[in-house]
Amino acid sequence: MMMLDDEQFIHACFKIILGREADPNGFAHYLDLLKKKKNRSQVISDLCYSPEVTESLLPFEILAAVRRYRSSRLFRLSLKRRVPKPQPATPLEGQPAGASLGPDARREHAHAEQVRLNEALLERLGALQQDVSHLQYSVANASRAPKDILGDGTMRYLFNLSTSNHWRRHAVGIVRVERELGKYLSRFGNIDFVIWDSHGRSLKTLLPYQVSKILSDEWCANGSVGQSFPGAQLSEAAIKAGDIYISVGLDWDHAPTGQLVEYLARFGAKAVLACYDTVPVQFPEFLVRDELGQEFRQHLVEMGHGASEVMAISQSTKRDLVHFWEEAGLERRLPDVFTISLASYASPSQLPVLNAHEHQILRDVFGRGDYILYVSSVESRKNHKMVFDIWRDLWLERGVDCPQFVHVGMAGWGNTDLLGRVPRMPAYIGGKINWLQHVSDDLLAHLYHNCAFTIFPSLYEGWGLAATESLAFGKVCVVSNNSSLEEATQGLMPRYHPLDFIGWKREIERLLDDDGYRKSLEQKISDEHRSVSWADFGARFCDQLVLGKN
Amino acid sequence: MGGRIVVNISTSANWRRRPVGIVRVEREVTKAIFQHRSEAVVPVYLDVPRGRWMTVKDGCFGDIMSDAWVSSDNPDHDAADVRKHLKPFSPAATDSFVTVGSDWSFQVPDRVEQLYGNHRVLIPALYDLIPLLFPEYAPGMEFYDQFNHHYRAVQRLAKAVFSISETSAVSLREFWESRGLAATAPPVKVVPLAAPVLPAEAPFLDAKERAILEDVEKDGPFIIYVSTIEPRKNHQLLLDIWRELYAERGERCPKLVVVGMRGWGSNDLIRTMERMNAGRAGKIVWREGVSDVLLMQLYSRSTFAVFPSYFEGWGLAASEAAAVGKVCVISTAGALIEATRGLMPSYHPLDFPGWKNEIMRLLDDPAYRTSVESSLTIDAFKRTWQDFGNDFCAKLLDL
Repeated sequence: MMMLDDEQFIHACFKIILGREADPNGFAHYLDLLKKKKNRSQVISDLCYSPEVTESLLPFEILAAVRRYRSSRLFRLSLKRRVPKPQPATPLEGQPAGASLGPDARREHAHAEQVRLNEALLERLGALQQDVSHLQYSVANASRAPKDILGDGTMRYLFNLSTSNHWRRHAVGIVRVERELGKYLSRFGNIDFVIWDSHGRSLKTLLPYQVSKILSDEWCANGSVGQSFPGAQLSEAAIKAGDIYISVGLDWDHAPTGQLVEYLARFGAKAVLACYDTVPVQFPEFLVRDELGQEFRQHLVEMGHGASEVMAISQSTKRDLVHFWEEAGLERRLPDVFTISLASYASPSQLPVLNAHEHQILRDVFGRGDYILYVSSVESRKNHKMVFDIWRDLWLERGVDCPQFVHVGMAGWGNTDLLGRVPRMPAYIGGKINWLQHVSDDLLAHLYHNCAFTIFPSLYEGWGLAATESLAFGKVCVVSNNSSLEEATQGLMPRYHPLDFIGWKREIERLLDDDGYRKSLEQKISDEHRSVSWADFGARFCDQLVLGKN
Repeated sequence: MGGRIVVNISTSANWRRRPVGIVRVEREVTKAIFQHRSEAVVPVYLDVPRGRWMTVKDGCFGDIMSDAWVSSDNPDHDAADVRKHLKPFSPAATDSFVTVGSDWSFQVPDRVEQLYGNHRVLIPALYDLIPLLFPEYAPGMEFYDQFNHHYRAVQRLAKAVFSISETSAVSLREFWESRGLAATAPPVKVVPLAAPVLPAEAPFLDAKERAILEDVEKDGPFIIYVSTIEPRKNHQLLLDIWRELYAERGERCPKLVVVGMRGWGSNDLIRTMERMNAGRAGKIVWREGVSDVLLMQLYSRSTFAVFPSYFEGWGLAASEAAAVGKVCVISTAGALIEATRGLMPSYHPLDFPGWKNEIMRLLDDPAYRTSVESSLTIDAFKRTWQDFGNDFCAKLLDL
């Protein structure tokens, strides 16, 4: 099978694993993947773990197709080693083996056998995929230099990858931070990577190839549909007194803080946790679920009780967190809170190559005139409403000379009413409000590069990565003057109360109409803005961890 | 005007709940005309399914105009009774045709044209042109099309147009101007709406109303906003202000009392109102179905009122507050300044700092609040429905 060319290989994979011809989208996706990554095992893995395989019974024809392709060397090797000898059909309950069966019972029997075969096949395919991954990891690391040691080597660290293990989509926000820090820490020999096994209520150690797999770009590639590594099948981490557990992910979902600190306390291990913001307790109206506010409040209280140190992603978040703990009246010495600014994902030095679809989107944007960019999911906290209000006036005042407002981001919750009426706005009908969703990092880079400037009028942020990204591209970003956005833009950008419509409108008009003013701010960015890379972020985190400073 | 006065009472006939807004205006206009020239009035009803005008028999007309009609126990069922009391209608060449309901949705001018040809018999109403000016503040794009069609037909068929404000009149003239229709357009006559007058004696409140009043008042001063909850009314500004007021003042935060029906496009806002910290702490409360009597009590016992709407054709709640001597902070948009005679503090509906500072000043500086209150010449705001009706007849009928 490996002798086939890419296109033949994809068609064969679809036939073997899914038992059907490749659909155009799937074919194009995997062809693109192979062109970029040249990783055929990724194709096999993705298809094996796709919902089409895992969420439905494999029809008999597929099993037959798999058998037909057993002659493929790859499969033959694996199946020879792992396939158990065929067992005689299990008698139905209440019937002796060999008893004659009616047509219904025979169908039921055949179905049960089918299910058993499907499960056996899935297990074999999973084992095969693990073998391939393990092998790839061994080959890739055969010539790698010995790992560095964090600190003086006397400490052992456990880094929680639970969030990344569960996340098989494009990584943004907290997921991205965990992944980037994980990548940085993976260079050290005295860091073990763990996940929280919620059933066994224990930390399980990931094998090196599993860490490599989770932290690979393919794990979160668009269209990736695989499953996570199940904690139940891993060994419990051997935790010693003094070990330091680090978790910077979505702990309230994947590693409940209360359970974790109780577990770690049994071993005398310490916990270093993270706080990204305190939105759920400050603004319950911005939450998707009502009960999330109480859950998050509990998370912060347990963090205050159980963490030895907490990383806050901004001074603003630190202030809010400490304020929350003070208000909550925690009866213990509060954890030390250190702050490390987040890095930018942007790499503006070289713009990426776009595919045809992305080019088309970009052409459409350019065709509507100069544009102002806002990168954010559409949810109440992000305050898109004020921007639409400004564009109502700009359209009334400028007509076809009104600039274009391009907002990039997913539809969040709680904006049904707003998003329902925006398409009736004359500015929208006139093509001056343009909403782009499912935008790739590559296309986003082009959108940043070509915009007039950006805006970030959020009602509250723990950091504000889109503002940092804007500055990394040398673009002015008008920001809210509360919470963390001033920090995220290093105090260099114009800022207003997020609801000061008049101030925002005046600033936007000035940036539109006064080239000299806009250029002076761009020059300020060029002269004074200090970019932070993820390597910088990782190094600062380690400095804090080892030396207590960053 | 010597001929018959045909009055379209379809909206009133179909409405058996408490009369507000357009229903109230139609009822008051009809009463005034009847008082003015009872012998000339021909009440008509538009039988929409059959596309024909029918005369409402005298007994039924009296019932529709009675107070009992708008306090039905079974409003949806009772409205259908009208159909039993109709008789054929025949137009006459000297008729005037007064119609002040939601006519744009029922092609009323076109149906009048079918009876009278292109004779200018129509006396229609203009409340506002919001669906044309701000389509996003109407529940659907079909309202844009309806208004666009309706006010073109009005230009062609009306002998005069009744407008509730100069602001709306200007909007309509500009609309005709922009469509090249101004030269042959009918006159637009402004008749401001009434504002209720606080009764001299203490009004009777039933036990439920007294309980509402006590509940509203129990935690100290409150600020009132009377309006249907829908996007144009800009309740969001007040929620944003109360978010900060509660964060800054905690239990000392004043209460915001929102009075009005749930309108379209307001689910997210109501959810926010109920879940935000200020809402949970009881600092924002919402009351629906408040009677006129209770409403006037709420106005008179409030610290002050607010009206931050994006656009209003008039702004009855602002003139109501003024009529009981209360300050109402208003938006500079639409007719609100006109409705309050320029006597109230006013801000752009999105000027959050301006609104917040004004609200805090009115709360914290009683001397300032009193000075604004004393500048209100309350009598100037006291305008009964009788006054309104008389003006209507003088300006629209006695041409």
